[in-house]
Amino acid sequence: MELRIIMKKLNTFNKILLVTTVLLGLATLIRFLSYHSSPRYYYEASVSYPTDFPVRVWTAKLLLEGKEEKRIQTKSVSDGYGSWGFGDSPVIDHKERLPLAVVISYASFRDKAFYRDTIPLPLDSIRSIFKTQEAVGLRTSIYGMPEVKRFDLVLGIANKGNVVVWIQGEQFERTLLKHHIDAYVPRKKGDDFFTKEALSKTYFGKEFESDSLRIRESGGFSVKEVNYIDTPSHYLRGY
Amino acid sequence: MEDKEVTPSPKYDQERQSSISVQLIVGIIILVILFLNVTHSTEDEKLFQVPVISGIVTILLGAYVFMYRGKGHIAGKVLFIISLIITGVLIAGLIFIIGLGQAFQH
Repeated sequence: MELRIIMKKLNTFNKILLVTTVLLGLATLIRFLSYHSSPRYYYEASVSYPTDFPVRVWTAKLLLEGKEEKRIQTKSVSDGYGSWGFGDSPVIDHKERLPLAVVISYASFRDKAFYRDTIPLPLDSIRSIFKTQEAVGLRTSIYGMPEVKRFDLVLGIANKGNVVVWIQGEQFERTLLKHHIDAYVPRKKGDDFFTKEALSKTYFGKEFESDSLRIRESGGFSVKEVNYIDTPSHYLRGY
Repeated sequence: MEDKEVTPSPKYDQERQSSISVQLIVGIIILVILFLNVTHSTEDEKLFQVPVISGIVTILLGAYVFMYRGKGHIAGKVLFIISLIITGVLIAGLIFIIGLGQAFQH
């Protein structure tokens, strides 16, 4: 009743403005609630590989709760310097939802093969680490805000199509999973690595020229190829 | 309910409606800013938000000035013209920045 009287007293312009205000308020509320519909945490994700087993990454992303996606940093790949167990440490400025799966596709120089897969992550153990182990998170300062704790998800790309995912904090590391991917051949348009260069026989020689030079300079390949999936990450040694 | 309304003088009513409009416009602007900021936005999105907000302010002020044509409301007109200029500059600046960014693609 009161509302009707108020509406009656307003002119058309004000009625339109009032309706807009109410709708905008509702939209803001819905947007706010859906943004916070699942918990968010500070974390980053990146790629690590043994420096003698260079790779090229085509796709690297995390599928998050609520159909969101997050890019996995691959700076170590583009820099051409990998270290087993060490990812990148990019700047963080906001929280994100927890990851459900890793989507990765890469070319391995030593295997001379392409790999791609979607690997489901153990969400429950990730969640419990974020909830209960916050004390061992990495201390991170965010511009204009107090220090926060964060974790790093590191995707280790070993040889022979093996992949491992670690979660790392301050003097803290857990292996979340180990996973084997079968090599695949990019066949149709839209497949990762489906380019003229990647399909040519000389691709691995050309694309990894600088890597192979570097490896040769530092003494060449060892005769017996180490199975890196069994090698623990060097991350904790850094402390 | 009693519906014995005393019709206020047109001039007084115009004043009252105008002040309600101003309040609603301020409310809408605040809500637009809130709407854009309740979620995290990337640097690029933030860059776009400034001209968007400025454009909305200009449209609202323009509508206000158009609704309450007449002798008073000079402040509204002045604000509208200022915001029109600011929006123009911002949009031109954005186009310039995008162009500059594209030039650096290689």
